[in-house]
Parts: sequence; C-alpha cells; structure tokens
Amino acid sequence: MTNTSTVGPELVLVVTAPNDPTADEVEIELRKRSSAIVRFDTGDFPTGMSMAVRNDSTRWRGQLVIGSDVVDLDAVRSVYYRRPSRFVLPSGLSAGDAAFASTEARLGFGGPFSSSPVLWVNHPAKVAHAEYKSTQLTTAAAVGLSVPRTLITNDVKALRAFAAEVDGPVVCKTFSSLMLNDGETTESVFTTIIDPVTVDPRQFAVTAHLVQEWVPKAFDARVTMVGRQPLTTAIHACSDAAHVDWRADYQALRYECVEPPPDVVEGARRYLTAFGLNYGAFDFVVKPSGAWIFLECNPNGQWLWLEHEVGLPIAAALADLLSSGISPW
Amino acid sequence: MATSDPLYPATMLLPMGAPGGIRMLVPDTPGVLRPYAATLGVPSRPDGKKHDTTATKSTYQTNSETINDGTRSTDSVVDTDVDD
Repeated sequence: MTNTSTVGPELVLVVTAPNDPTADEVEIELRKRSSAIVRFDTGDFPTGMSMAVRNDSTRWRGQLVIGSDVVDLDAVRSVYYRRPSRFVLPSGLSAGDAAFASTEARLGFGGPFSSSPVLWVNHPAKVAHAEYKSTQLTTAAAVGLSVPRTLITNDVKALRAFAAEVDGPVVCKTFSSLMLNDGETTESVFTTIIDPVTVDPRQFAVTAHLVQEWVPKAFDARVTMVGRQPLTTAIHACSDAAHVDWRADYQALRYECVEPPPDVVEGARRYLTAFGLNYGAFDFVVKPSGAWIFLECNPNGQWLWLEHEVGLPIAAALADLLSSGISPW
Repeated sequence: MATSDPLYPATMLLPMGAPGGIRMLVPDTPGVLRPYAATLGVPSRPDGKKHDTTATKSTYQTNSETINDGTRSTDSVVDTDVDD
C-alpha cells in the first residue's frame, strides 16, 4: 500500500497485490501527472482494512480505511483493477465460517466498491464476461474482425467432421490458463496442432474442447488497446513451438513495433465498447497475405514486457487514461 | 449471485483471485482418464525476458470446501502470478 496523506477529488485507486511490478510502473507514471494515488489489495480486507458505506439514493457513499489512508468513495476518479488477491480472514475461523465470511466479504465489500460509477480499467464483472473465448469470437465477428472457423465440442465425431470441412490443419486450445503440477513438473497447455484421427474419443468426451482451423501466419501481433489507443507489437517466432503458440517459447521471440490496419483498430475499439472494457490485449495472426485474423482478447493481459522490449509507452497511456477519469467511449 | 453458480463462480468476481491472464496452478495426480486437452500439456519453459519484468513470486492458496451428497471434500488451488 502507498501512504498518501492527501486524498483529493482526483484520486486514482490502484487495486492489486503488493508485489506487482506492472502496477508499480503505472504508479510511477501517475505520480508524474501529480495524481493522488492509493494502492491497496482486496486481500487487505478485512484484517488490514475497514469499511463503512451507506446507500445515498443511487450510489454508495462512505469510506475505506486502509492503514493510514482514508479513501472517500466520492473522491475516487478511477480504478486500476489489476491483480488483487483474495480476502485474508482472521485466524481462528473454521473452514465453514471462513467460507461464509469470504462470501459475505465478496458481496458486502465487493458489491458497493464495484458499484462505484467511475472509470475502471477494467471493471471485474466486465472482465468476467469478456473471459469467455466463445463470446470473444462472436463479438469480434460482430464488430467486423475476421475470426477463424472454430468448433467447441466434446464429440470426436464432430471434431473429425470439422477437420474434414477445414481440409487443413486444426489446432486445439484451452479456454483457460490452468497449469497442472504433479508435484515435480508444471505443465502448460498451449495451442497445439492435432491429428483428429488419433484423438481418444473417451478423453475428448471428458469436457468441452475448442478446436480451430490453423491460420497460416507471417507473424503474430499483440495489439494492446488502452482506451482508444492501439499500441502494437509484431511477434516473430524463431522456433517451431513459438510459431504455433508464441507463449510456448519466449526465448525464441523477436519483437518490433508495427501499425495495425485502420479497420483492425476500429474493430478493436468496437470490441472494447461492446464488452464495456477500457483495456484489452488483443492477439492476432497476420497471414502472409497481410490479413489480420483475431484470435482472442485478454481483458487483463500482461504488457510490461512488451514495453521493455520495444519501448511502447503503455504505462504512460494507462496513466493518462486513469488520471483523466474520462471514458474513452 | 450464488457462489455455486457454474458459469460465474466466485473466483471470477471481486476479489479476482483468478483474473484474466493468470494461470491457475492446480496440484494434480493424473488418473486413468484425462481430458484430451490436458494431455497436450508440455513442461513449462523458463519465460526468459518476459518475466524479467514480472518478478512476482507471490503465491497464495485457497481451500474451498464443498459438500456433495453428504460427502465433504476440499479443493486446494494455488494461484501463481503468471501471465498470458
């Protein structure tokens, strides 16, 4: 938490875990803009934070007290909601009482706090909605972006029919970013080109799978949208693994700043508007023909390494947006 | 919203213990039957330069207890600040 003695009407809340170098960079940029900042973690509640709010017609008014900082909700201009952690409850609770208290805290603290009618980057409920890859793809198509043919199924017959229709390679990718650890090795599941003939129907039937046509690529592109502003990096893969999914081999990547086509930028803006987001990390494949194909948009995607790699002023753009408190839409 | 809601579980809302981009590390001993996608996993490589900028080492563990037909079980999930 950052000690801030003056809390004015232009307060920016930075809500994240204590150890968050990415938020640190935004905080540095906010200070350059003389923004008043309070940084806290939802994990501070209730052991390190108290709250008292009352309903006043259409909104909740009151204070959060975090150590020496007193946050008047009326003074908040914007919220940078990044990587906060779960509530830390007092010791001595049974498992049942802890679950009870945690749920009550989520609804009781989170409800009034997240109802604050200010600029959020991003609002957690909007993020939750925007996490669904299925919704991402249909929304992207609705705003005019090109998307790959995609099948979601647990039926191997449907998989094989889809692959026959595609008449080319297909990939399997996950909906989430779970990593499995067997006690010794941590495994990640990246986008993988699969042979539908060899897929075990029983394994495939266990859960929903996302299968997509493989899009031939000249390179990948990450369009980091901060409000209306695109900050774009081409990601060139220098290994087979990275060519299929650049997350699989960060050591084999080369970056450069590029300008996305205007229709892609406009599509990204419409996409964020559709989801009510003010930030999004868009992943595209750029085909050898030059066409940009939308793959997904992470509403809370990492960006600091790109700023360091190619000098994109993402922290500054976020600070500009947060200090303005004005919706870009 | 009920915490048992299968589409919007508690972890997806405030506070976001599992927000977008964070991979959740799940302790796992594979059984005889696995989800096909899980079999595509590969050992994680060092993330190289990317995580020179995100030296976050914090992890935290939550235990959520569930009761199903009178049987009480505990899920243990460790979140790591690893990003997409």
